[in-house]
Amino acid sequence: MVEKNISQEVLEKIKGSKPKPKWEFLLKDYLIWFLGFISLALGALSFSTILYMFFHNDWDVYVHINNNIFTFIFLTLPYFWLIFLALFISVAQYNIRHTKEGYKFELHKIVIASIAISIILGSLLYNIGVGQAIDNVIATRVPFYHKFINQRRQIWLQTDKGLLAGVVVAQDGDNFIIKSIDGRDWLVLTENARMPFKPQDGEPVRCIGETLGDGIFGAKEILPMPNTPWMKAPPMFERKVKGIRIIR
Amino acid sequence: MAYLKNLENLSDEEIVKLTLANQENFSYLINRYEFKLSRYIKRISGLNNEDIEDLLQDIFIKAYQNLNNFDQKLKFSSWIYRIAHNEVISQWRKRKARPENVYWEVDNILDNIVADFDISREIDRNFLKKNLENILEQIDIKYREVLVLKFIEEKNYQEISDILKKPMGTVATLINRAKKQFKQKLQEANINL
Repeated sequence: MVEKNISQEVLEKIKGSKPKPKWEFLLKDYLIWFLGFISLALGALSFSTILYMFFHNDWDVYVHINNNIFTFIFLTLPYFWLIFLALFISVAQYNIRHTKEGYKFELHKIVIASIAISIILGSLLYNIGVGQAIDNVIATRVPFYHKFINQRRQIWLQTDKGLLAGVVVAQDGDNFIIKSIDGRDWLVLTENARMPFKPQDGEPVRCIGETLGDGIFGAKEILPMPNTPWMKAPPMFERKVKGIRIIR
Repeated sequence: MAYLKNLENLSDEEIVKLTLANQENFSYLINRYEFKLSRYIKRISGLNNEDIEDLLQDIFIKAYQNLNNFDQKLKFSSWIYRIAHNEVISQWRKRKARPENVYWEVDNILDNIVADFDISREIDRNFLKKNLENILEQIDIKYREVLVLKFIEEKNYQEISDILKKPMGTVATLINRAKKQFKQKLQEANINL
């Protein structure tokens, strides 16, 4: 079947050349493993942020945001982080499959293992506060974060639906003034409000009620808004809201 | 002379190590696999002899260039069959065509297939012999290749897994499906007669 002397021809062609050095292959292997580990780590970071956003959602007042719990979940799902998680898991499984012995494992087993690692590592990271740190750091540095990624900000700017959140900047008797998430000043009337705590200056709060006029909000319920360092009060020396002059 | 005789008795893996020290030793590996690989390529690719020889050269050159990447946990035969498989696939891609007329040695594979497929009672052996080539050609390429490796090259599941770089479970599934498709084509041919 084979007429030419292949052995001789091959030896002639490879004469003077050497096999590729071992380090080239080792480097490629290590690079594939490294990218796989990085992807798993990023997947875990995404998962820790998903956990943070899930547990720090407005579950206590979801009926005010949407009557239907499923619609509320649909509205507040952290899609961006879920897409990131899926992306990093895909990259991780691709890299694991392309390691030297990766082909020996069934695809679904690699995917399940990647998801399991992301979940376990992500839960540990969440427990030490990494999820919160990521959410807060990105929220303060990425301008579009709250528009597209963490919808909480948008939800609490719906004053026409009776939802307002902001940082307490001053108090006037029972009423107080807050700087809303979009930077506007609001006088919050608390006469008819259920208020299970006493808000302090600089504290983020959620107000449920109705808009009574331009910059005036009649609260029916006032709740704390913990774990939102991105809602910091700006430095203020003097402000004037609806005729009330406040000097700090 | 004694050195040469000793080399012939060495395993492939040992010759690989010696080749890394002296290029000339690679000829022993070429001589061992030249015929086996050309037969394998012909069975799965349907290429003519000239193209097979060119492809064989490419395979051996590639094997030599990547000799430092040979994993001693694998059999050398699995590793070089893998290179051959990949080269055939890349040939298909270059030509943008898959094989049509492949080469089968019907007598050699008949016994293997009859024994393993449990079809001897259902189909007349002479009929099978006459139609085997035609039936094998009708089978999908992905199934045909595992049939070649299992029943003609007589590789075990582990070796097929290493050659095709697929998990053993997937190899088993492919072989089962290949058998089913083979039986189905066989029955269709029997009915159509």
